Amino acid sequence: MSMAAERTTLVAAVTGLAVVLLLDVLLRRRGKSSWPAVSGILLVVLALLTLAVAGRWLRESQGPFLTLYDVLLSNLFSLTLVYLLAAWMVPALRASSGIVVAFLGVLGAWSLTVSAEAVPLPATFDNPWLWLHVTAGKLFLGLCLPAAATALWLLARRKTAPAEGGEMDAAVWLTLSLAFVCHSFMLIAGAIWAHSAWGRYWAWDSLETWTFITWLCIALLLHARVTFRRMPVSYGWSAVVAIFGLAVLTFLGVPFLSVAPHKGVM
Amino acid sequence: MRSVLKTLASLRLTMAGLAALIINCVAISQWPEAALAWVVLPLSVLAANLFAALIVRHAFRHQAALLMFHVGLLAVLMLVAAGVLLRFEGSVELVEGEAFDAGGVTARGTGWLHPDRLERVDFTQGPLEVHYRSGLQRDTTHSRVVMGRQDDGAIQRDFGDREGFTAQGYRFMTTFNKGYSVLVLWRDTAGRESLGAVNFPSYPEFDWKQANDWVTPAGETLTLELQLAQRVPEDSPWTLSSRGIRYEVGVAGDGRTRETIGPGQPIAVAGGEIEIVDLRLWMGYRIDYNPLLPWLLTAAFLSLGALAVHMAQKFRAAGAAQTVAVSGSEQAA
Repeated sequence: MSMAAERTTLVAAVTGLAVVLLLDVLLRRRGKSSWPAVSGILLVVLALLTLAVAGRWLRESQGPFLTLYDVLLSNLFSLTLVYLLAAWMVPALRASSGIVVAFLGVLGAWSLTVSAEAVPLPATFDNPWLWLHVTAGKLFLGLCLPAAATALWLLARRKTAPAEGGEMDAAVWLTLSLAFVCHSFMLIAGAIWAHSAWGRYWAWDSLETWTFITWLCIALLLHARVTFRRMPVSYGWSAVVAIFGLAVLTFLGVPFLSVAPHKGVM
Repeated sequence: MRSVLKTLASLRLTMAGLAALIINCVAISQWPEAALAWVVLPLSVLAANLFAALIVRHAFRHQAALLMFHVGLLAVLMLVAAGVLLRFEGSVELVEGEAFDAGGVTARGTGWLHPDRLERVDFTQGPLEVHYRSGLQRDTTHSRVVMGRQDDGAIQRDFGDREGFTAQGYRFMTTFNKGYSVLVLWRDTAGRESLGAVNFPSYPEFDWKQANDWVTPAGETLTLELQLAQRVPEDSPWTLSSRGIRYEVGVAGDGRTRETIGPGQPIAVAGGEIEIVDLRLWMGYRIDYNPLLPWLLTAAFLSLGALAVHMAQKFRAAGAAQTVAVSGSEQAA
């Protein structure tokens, strides 16, 4: 697939996301279930993103790891895939589809503004642990997104529809806990990869430090839930949203702002 | 004693420790060079808190996977701490044909309990090759070393960027830092000879300044400049090696007219003469030592597996409770 065809496919996918968002808002206003239409079009968007990622991969003979564009494109793909799977398995996550799609739309629009020029992957980076590290990272962010979107949705409706909380609250903590497991695996796989690629398993570079801070924040929140059982549920939801914000800044911000060796390597 | 342990096992202390660690990690993101100092105290508090909790908290006795996860986490903390005490990190530059000498190693970090065995490391650097893709993109590195002495069964080892090789527990990893070196024969006025190597800056990164100063045994400072007959091709694959290279060396110094000599051509200098004998490659190796890494990896994976099992059990139980609640409310309706 040529670069121009890849960009066209991406534009089509972003347009699809805009259509999903519009449909979601319209159907909800009419009091209808938006999920069948939303999930249907999201599947088409996922197919387009799969095409764009696979086309780029085949053309460049390397995975989407290095540039901001690579990271945005691959995250668009993984976030859409993980959300569809998570919402299929846990129906309580479907209510927040509008928030999820809006976030994906922002990422999509951002990806259209950055250079799509590829940067060759250094030979020392090409190691199976890189794949496991990146896959675990994408699963983490993919699970964090529906958790945060559902928490935000619950926060927005806690006064108008407080009875809706139970099942959705459980879904928030389920996805966040699974995200924590994936995050832990990402740290271990990343350490093994770094030991092979750079000769050290941990070096406190900016991305490593902020990733560890994200892990600690989730651990703190999970312990807070056990320690302060009478804590208002909205505090927990706010914390989940904040952790997702921190994770997005860590994964999409830190690697491209820092001058550390981890720069741009995702 | 038990009341002390109960206080130490407090979940509130866990939260305080985690919060302190988060704040200190934010500080590390600004001042990473002092990372160890920032994390020692909160990690020690958390380790003591976890140890006490494992003894006194009943919740662990009923949840084997949660217990395993926390035991694994404690093991990871202990192993990381022990690894820091035992570690060694350093670097060394070796020229093709040169025997490893511990005296040439630059140490970057040495743990208090590091058992210094670098003197026992015994190998000689063999041929080096670094392959480049078109556009001067570094590809694979090939290094050959000969372990031990020829007379007592030398072992030849080939390795590259990803695997490195280990001797006496020290892992030697090739790096991007490598370049050309010339072997220089020094002959004083009495005819006594000694052989040494002058390494030039990393190549091809600094192909525009392949020069280095060298002080002769007689005390004269000479500037040697490597002049290669061919430039690096940027639009085709290329291999950095020391074989089949045509070159000359420019020799300059204070009060001396710059001269250019080829291999085997002697040139008179203060107190004797020098002769360029051969062109070689040098490789900058990163050295690290941490004998606990396999154990650390095992503890980390055991801990992770236990966490996954705990989460699965927890949410299976929650799902079952929800199913019971739903069917109960349906029956009531």
